Amino acid sequence: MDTPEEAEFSAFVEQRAHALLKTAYALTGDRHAAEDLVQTALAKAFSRWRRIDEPEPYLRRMIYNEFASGWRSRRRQAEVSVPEPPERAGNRAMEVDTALRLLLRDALRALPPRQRAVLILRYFEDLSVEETAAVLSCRQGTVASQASRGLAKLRELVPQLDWSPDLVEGRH
Amino acid sequence: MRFEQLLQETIDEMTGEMTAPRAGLAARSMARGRRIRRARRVATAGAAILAAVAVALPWTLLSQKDAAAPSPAAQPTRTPAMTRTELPGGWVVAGVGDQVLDRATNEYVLMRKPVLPAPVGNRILVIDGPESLQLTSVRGADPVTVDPAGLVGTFNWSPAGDRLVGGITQKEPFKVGFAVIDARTGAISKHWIDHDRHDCSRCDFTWTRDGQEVVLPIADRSGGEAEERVSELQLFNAGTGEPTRSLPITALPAGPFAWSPGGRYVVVGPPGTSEGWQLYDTTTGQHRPFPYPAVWVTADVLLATKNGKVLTLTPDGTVTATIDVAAPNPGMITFGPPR
Repeated sequence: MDTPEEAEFSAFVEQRAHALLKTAYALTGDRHAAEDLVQTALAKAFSRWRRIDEPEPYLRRMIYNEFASGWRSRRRQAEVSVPEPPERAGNRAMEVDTALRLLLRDALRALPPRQRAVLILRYFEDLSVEETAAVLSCRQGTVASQASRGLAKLRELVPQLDWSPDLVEGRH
Repeated sequence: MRFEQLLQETIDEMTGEMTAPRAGLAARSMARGRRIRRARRVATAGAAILAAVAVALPWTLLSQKDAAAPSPAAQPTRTPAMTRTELPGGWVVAGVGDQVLDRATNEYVLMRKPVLPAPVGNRILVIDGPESLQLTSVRGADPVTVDPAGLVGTFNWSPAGDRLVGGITQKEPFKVGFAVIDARTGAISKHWIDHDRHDCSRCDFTWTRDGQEVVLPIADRSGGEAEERVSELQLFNAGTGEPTRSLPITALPAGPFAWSPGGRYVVVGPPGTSEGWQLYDTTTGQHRPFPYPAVWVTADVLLATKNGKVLTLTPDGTVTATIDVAAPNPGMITFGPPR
């Protein structure tokens, strides 16, 4: 029979694991890696479950941190080949957007984990520099520099994208 | 299309591909979580002992049985045969392995639990797992419970044995600081630090020799997070938490007596190991290898341990004497100055 702690944890996993997996998948771009990342975070969370007041923010932060730090030492993924982009102009806007998304997806996967985590937190989760630094337990200056480097790399990999000047400077 | 919009759509598209978790995720996570808990109990006890205030040196590991299966507050069980050995300058072995010196009777008392003895006085910190901290006298008198909420890292006794320092964190919003724990009452004074200015990786705190300041290693992240490098030491007023000064030293002292009596020199190194130690001149940052983690007895004499024996050294690292303290059950050792 489950203890109350185990029952509560199981219910949380039942309700929220899928959402956490989506976050992990956005970071890793790989289903198995995402499952591994989430299970690692869940295991650590369970080990101190009684002390955690709000599990989901705690888990999300752990997933980002684990990805940005612990995963650094793992073997880097092979560089993803970038397909030849279609012409930007023309009346096939939808197809162009689809191609750009594919390009951006591959370009994101080519970034180092910390830069990828910073960009996803800043531009997908829409967190401020301060909030991103808090999630990743690092300095705000580190967030800014990692974002800047990540954006520069994306610009290089996806030059077809509409890059606004303020974005290149970094958002605060 | 603008970058932010495209990124949103790209990630939405990606996350939409992620199917539901496979069955048994909760059970697998709980199994791993239980292993982490067991490992943490052992590690917490071990780390605390390693960070013992004078200097703690690994002779053997702590009793895994005690650490893995904690029971209520530790009580001394019997008085073993080990006797007090006088060391240079009137120093003593305040604790070795599971034995702690009762200065009132000059007898060593056997502990059933991992404990961290104060270098001076009669108090011990009983570490009964990560969620149970208690301060008592060596023989179990005057126990007080320490609330472990938010406490992290290792604990270090002040040079006078009247306070402990440990790290504290808060999750939301993220904060880091240190807690000064009163050895008599267990009362905790928390001091948050500016983590942006004083960025630590291993946020372990220890003391200066005069007990007026606590010391934090500042992270050098140039080699990546996993390198755990230290760029300098930042010192804080132990009473107010205000930053006081920084020193060009790239590792953490093991305790307050790692500082020379005048505070000019300090022996630092990687915690839990007997290699890679350095002696720093705090005024210039110049340093050279030192053969052992050691405590300063006087400006000319240091103490260290090797193979269960106590060594006396000169500041240039030369061993001048070997003293057998006749520890029947070697473990971690804590040196203490005279009362």
